Amino acid sequence: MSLRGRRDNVAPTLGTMQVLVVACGRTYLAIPGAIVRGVVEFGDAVEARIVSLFGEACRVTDLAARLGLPPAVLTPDMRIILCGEHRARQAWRVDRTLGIEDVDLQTITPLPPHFVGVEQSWFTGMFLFRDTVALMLNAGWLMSQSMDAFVAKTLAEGTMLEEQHVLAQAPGETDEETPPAAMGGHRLRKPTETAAGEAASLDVLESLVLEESTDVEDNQAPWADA
Amino acid sequence: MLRTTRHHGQTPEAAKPWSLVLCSVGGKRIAVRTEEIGGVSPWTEAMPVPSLTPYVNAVVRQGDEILPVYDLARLLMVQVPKTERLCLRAKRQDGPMAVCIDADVPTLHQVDAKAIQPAPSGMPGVIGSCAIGEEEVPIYSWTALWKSTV
Repeated sequence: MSLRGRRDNVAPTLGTMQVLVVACGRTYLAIPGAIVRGVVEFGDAVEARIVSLFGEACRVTDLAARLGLPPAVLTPDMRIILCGEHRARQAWRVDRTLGIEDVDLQTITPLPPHFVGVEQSWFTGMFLFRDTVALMLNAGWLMSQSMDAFVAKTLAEGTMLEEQHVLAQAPGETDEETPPAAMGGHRLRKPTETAAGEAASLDVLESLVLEESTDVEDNQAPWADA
Repeated sequence: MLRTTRHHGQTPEAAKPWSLVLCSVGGKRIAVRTEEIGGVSPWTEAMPVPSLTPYVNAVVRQGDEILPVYDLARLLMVQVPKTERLCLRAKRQDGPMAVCIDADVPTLHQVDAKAIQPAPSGMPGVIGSCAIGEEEVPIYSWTALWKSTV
């Protein structure tokens, strides 16, 4: 199903900003299209704790929980939004996607000054969306979040340990903890149980390797038709 | 002498009767000065906004306008019935806010300034109280509320 809906093939125009509108509970959030690299929507993937984007592992974070909203409950509508900018990678789990909007920049208003907390750094503004409102997420904040660097480091350490473990074995000997072979482009990986304490504390159960579309740079939001 | 009228703590403003709007929030009666009220309209569903600002964690859409919601019911530790609600538009210097109140239509009252009692301690946002009918009603001020809760 296209996320573009009735806006099929309409390129963003000057003075507009393309956003992906998602829902976390009853809150509608708009993610700037410029940082969206993909939408994972198939069943098993939404339960992934770690995904790989551009070959780098990043942890899947529940967006609602990160914002202090009630955490999402796993449903078939749930999606993982893959975000990337420069070297930063993020993966956010949301309740559902509502589609792509080309938002007129002039219609985006700042969060009211009555909000005086850290939330002012979470949102760059808000705009009228359908019969309600959508909050524009701050791309900078979104991309600066989390533990992904930490996870990538610990996964790399885990991989190194795996490799050392494999190298230490005699040639031809199999290892139950070796990641399974690629399956249809989606390779499941379990970090080794021998990975040092930090990795174990992350409760990393599985990872899903996703590759970015080849036409990601054509500014036509390839993820829109996911 | 210019200061004459302020002697004895009396000002022309203080001598005027207070014009108050009486409404209820979760069954609790409260009064607010009319100059701090921008109107009353039907309540529309609020959208939660992730927020660390105390009592401000939603917005409500009123036509093409988006108002932050001040959760007065939570401050008063009551609940407004979900089926019957009104939106009280609270005037503030930095912009209006929406306050969810009970469906009982607010009423206007003129109260003699001398009948206003000092604010009881320990009630944030209350600038005084007065008797309306047989009931002693706290008078809230958004500005005072803001200073004491946010």
